[in-house]
Amino acid sequence: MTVHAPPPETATATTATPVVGTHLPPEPTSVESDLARAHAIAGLVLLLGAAAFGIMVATKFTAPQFLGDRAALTWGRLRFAHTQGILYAWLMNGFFAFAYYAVPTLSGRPVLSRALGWWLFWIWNVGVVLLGWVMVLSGTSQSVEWGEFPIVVDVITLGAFLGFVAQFLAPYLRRPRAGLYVASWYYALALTFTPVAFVIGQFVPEYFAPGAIGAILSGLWIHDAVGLLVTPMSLAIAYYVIPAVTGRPIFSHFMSLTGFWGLVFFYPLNGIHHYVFSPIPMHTQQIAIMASIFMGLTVIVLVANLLLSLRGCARLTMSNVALRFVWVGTVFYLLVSLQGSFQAAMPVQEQIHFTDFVIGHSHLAMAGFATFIIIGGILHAWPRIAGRPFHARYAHWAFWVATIALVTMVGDLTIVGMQQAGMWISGASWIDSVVASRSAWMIRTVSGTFLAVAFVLLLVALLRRPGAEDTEEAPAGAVTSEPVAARGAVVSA
Amino acid sequence: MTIPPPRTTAELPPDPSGGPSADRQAPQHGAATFYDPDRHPWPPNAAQVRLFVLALALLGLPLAWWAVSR
Repeated sequence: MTVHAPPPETATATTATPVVGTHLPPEPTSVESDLARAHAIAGLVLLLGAAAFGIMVATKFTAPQFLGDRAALTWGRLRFAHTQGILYAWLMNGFFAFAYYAVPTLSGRPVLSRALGWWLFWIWNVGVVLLGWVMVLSGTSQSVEWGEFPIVVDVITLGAFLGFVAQFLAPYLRRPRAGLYVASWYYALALTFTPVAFVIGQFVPEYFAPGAIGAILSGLWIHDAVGLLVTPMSLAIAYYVIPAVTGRPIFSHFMSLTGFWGLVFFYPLNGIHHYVFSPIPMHTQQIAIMASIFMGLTVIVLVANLLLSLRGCARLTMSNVALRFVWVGTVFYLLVSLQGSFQAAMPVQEQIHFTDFVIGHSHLAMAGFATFIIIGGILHAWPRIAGRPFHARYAHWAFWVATIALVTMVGDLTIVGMQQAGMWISGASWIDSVVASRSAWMIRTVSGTFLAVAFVLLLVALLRRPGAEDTEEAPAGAVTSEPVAARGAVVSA
Repeated sequence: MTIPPPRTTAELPPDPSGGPSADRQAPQHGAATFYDPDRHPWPPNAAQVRLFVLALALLGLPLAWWAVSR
């Protein structure tokens, strides 16, 4: 993007930015290390459970008799435990962990209450995740997609979400700084939208608006959970870690703004594209599809801004595994967003709906984009919240195993999804498409198992005390902040 | 209307919780740095905004039209 600098006096008169030569004094922050560490470990341990449910589900595709006919271990119940587990057990714990590190640092203020933090930790992991798993496996669930945990758990979850909002919004409200870091914009977005989206998605479709209208609201929740909770919380991590590791500013403030407001404006409209060619009014479907297209274009701007912020840092991404996870997660974000926009289009949707193409997409989003960025955030924060470095060798292994496993899984599901689409359109029988998919489903199970192995390696990397040779050296390719500061690109708050 | 200044985490103050590797990633919390105003003035000029909106429309509208065509 070519821009022209305005004359100095114009810049002074019309912008709120440059006050040259002012360095912010060090401010005390209140990073909640214990809470961050607890959520990170809990998230990774529970992730192994959620991944195990996924592997069981995947195995049943090729071995339907696997685990017998015990009701708790049937496909439908295990799938609920898998999908809900990924969201609530893993992603949310990861978001909690990084927020306890980042929000006090970004805002310069402590979170609302440490005691509240421990209450939330136990309520979340026992009252939401474990109780939810027990209930869906015992046959009590809610017939709302991405809302399968029953109403009792929904009430607890809503209370915990309100605590989550109070905990992390309070630092920003206590004494607002003159400006907000880009990462903070995304925290504010997630904290504002999530409770509203959750109520709309979990309670309204089941009890107040059944039928097609309920499906509209349910579709909104499916995508709002991704777009207004998982996406902004992940982007907050990316916008935090990239400049913090490279020591360089974000590439463009204009692109930061357009990416952020584009997401705010377009994402909430996307959800109904889950029900294309349904009884929902066609203009409602079309608006959702068009919003999906523009969301894809917005993501190009957003990701370009993040990747351009990494210009010249190739060596750093190779030596710093936390940054590498965030970088690859950002690339996955671009891919999954463009794929999502593409598959929302009617000419594509009429072919790939109900195929494994969509399953590949969802895994690229949750296990690729969000998971990689959360792992990067946890690794980045770990030396500061644990008081010791992580085991770099295991972390590097975790990266490569996870990347190869995920790319294999998504590629496999994408290809077999297109194969299924072709067979169904050609009029082949359903069972023929099942038989044709068998080898691809086996590859999915194996790659999913390796993905779980990567999570084990990551857990070991965090828990095992490294020797001197197992820690990361100072980034060889790091770009120090001095050249930027030396140019006087410094702003006072 | 005052537009808040752009800020990035590159200018974060030192984290007192420290950790053994905190000082080994020197750029982590270095000197205060922000967007380089020479390369990226804020706010952007009108021509830049017009170009962005035009590009978005030229790319997005044909794609959106195709996407809702059956």
